[in-house]
Amino acid sequence: MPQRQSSENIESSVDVLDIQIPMYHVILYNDDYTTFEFVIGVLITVFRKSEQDAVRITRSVHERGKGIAGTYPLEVAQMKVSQVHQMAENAGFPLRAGIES
Amino acid sequence: MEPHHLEALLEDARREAISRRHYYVTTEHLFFVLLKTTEVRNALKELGVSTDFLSNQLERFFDQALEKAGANESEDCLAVPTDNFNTLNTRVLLQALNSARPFPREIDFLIALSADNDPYISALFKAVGLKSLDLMRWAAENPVHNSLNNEKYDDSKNEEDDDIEDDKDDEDPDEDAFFESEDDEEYNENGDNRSLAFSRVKEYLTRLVALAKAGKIDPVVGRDKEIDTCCQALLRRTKCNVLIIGEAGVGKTAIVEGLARRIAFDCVPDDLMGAEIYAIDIPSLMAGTKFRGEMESRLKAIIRYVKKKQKAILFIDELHSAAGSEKATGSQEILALLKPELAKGSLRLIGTTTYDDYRRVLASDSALMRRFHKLDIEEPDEELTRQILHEIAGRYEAFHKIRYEKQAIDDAVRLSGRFLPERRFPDKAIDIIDEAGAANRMKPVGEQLAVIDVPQIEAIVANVARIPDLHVSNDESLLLQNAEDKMKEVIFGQNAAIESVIRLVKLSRAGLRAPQKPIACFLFTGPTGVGKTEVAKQLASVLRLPFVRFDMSEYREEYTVSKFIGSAPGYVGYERGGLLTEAIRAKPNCVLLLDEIEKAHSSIYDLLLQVMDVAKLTDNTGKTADFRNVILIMTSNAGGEEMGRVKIGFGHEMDVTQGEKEIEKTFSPEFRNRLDEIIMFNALTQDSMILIVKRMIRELEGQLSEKNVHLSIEEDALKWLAQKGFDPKFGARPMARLIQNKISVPLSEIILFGDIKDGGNISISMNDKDDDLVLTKV
Repeated sequence: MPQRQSSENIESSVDVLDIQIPMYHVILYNDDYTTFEFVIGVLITVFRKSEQDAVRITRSVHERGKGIAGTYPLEVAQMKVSQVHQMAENAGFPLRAGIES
Repeated sequence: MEPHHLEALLEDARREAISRRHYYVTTEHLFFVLLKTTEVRNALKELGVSTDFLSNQLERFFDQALEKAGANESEDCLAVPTDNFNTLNTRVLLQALNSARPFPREIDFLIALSADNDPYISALFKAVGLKSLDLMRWAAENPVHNSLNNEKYDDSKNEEDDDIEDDKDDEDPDEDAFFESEDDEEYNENGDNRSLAFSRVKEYLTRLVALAKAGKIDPVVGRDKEIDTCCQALLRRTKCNVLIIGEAGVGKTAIVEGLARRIAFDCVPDDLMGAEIYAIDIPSLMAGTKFRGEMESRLKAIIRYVKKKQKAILFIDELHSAAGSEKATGSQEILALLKPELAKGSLRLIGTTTYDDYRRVLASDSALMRRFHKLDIEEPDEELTRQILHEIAGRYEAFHKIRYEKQAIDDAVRLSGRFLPERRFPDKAIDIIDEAGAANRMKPVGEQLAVIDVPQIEAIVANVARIPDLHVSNDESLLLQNAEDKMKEVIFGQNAAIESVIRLVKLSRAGLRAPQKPIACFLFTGPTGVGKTEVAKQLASVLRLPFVRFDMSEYREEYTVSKFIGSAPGYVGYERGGLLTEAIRAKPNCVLLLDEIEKAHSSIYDLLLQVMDVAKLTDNTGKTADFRNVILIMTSNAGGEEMGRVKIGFGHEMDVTQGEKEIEKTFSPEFRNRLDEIIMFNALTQDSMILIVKRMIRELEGQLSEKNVHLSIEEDALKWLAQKGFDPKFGARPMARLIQNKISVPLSEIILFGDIKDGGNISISMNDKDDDLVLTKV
């Protein structure tokens, strides 16, 4: 869970300590039907990875069952997940993405 | 919050994301822009929460947590709203709907944020110790006021609008600096997004002095006195507004342009030196205003802008259109919005309008009108128009790439003055030379002239005024030459009448007639059926003029006069206009036949007096119809009966004097006086009857030409017909009946049931007993 480092003080002099920004990983899960190429495509398009990184992550998904596609604040992470699902559905693949902290 | 504020809020969030080159616009962006709104700032201040802290944290978030696009990526892929963003906004809107308030407040967005699940947002709220309940309580305790002018404003951040003395912008000619100083605080007391409206202010305004300096405004000639008056009015302490009134096309807008030129070249008193004239473009001001109040805020932005510029003058062309109409809702009356400013005297306005529109729309608001100095613009005379044209001809020459002869320009003025009475100088003259240039360009390249001379101008004027060429062309004179003979071929026994008519038409065409009268006014009298209507018809046909006929037996009653010139206002048919005036306006060059004029009501005669004298007829709406190119023919049977009677003892001469007396009785002296000629038609003689019979047979044959049937008539049959069908009292009409009975009817039998289907020749001859005709197939 995200940890707050600032005090509970409601005075305006709280600016000394910054509030930690909770970030979340977007995970891509392996399945038996989604192709290698498609996952690479998704990583490049949705997550703006370089081709090298995309290949690396896809290999991780393939070999270890999952891979971290990117790390974002929750709102953005949720958007990315639905984007992946949308793209997969359009292309006819059952690729699933998820969020882990 | 008004809907356009709502839109602005979301738009700002989006802009924030774009300016930071974020791919997404998130609830954090919304939070960030909310922290800039007055309502939220007030709420947080009262609740003891630091707005700055929150802003700083959010900035940090933007910097560290969100990906930024490279410089080469387009804006289209930026600021995509996240699902969370959309959901939040929808939730807020629905909540507002449920609470029967039309639109949400900024505080509602904050409340929704405080209840959001997003970890970071909740972390922020928790960090400053802000709970949803606190916000909701604040919202309940601080309801929004139901007016555009929300009294709650943040003292520390807002300037007073009217404190122009404090404004350091006064002397600053640079307009962008004006915008920069406003950027710091984006929301004023109304929650308006000022920068939104301000940035668009320039779209609605045109700077005339800048245009004049760039040389894009034509020079203005001969209006110095008027421009001086205008300047003087503008220099006043109060009511420094001018309303320029004049007919369409006399140069009202030109006055303002002249003023702009003067200011551009510094020929004005000190107080006006360096001033700028802002022309408001009303259509673009109103375009795209989806919500009520959007146009007001635009207008208010314009007013603020103009007031800040100390030496600014507003210009609204067609001021009556800014005044709205009865149908317009309150929000559409631009002028009404300007009224307070005009009343205070803090605004200088120049407006233009026409007399009609002034009377119709503006005069009723005398409180408004007294703040204006009214400047009347008269139509310039020919001399002044000539000067104006010579001055600006150069611009048209450059545009059309031609040269105008001096004589051509002078003629353009002269001819447009003569033949385009409905329009005003200098507009109509300028139109002519412009049209001439354009017509030249329409021609194929080989035929285009380098110099426009008098003939081209004449052609253009003739075209615009819809009259035949002004110098009789070859075709026309040919027509006239043969007209007499052609008419004599068709109408028999009325040579004197035909000659009189043609004589007068020739006179008029040669240009030797008084210019302010119709081409000719005739009264045809004589017994019935001798060819009076026929002569008029043939005249029109031979001269290739349109033929307009009115049967005066329809106008026996007094009220029927209104059919001619249109009913009075308030009566049915007011908009339709008068039959006669419309007909002449549509065909200003025609043969006008008024049949059986003696049957008309005497009011009609009174109308005609005017027509024959000055060739003008005014209809119910006040517009005039121009009769100067009309050949007016009236027919009458007055005296016909008398003339049919053969004088006792003098053979077959007609009783002319008795007929004349009858005419004198029927028509008043002033009517008869205005006629060019009263033409007596002769009763038909036996010889003419023979010719008439021949013609009728020919016409009959013409009807049968498709069936390839030819008719031939024997000499004795001809004579018999001529004799049988002749009655001096009834003219040629009995002949037509006779021919129908004796020839057409049997002919129809033959055609239908006989063996003439493939054509043939039919001979008409007398039968054995010499008392009837017989038709035989040859």
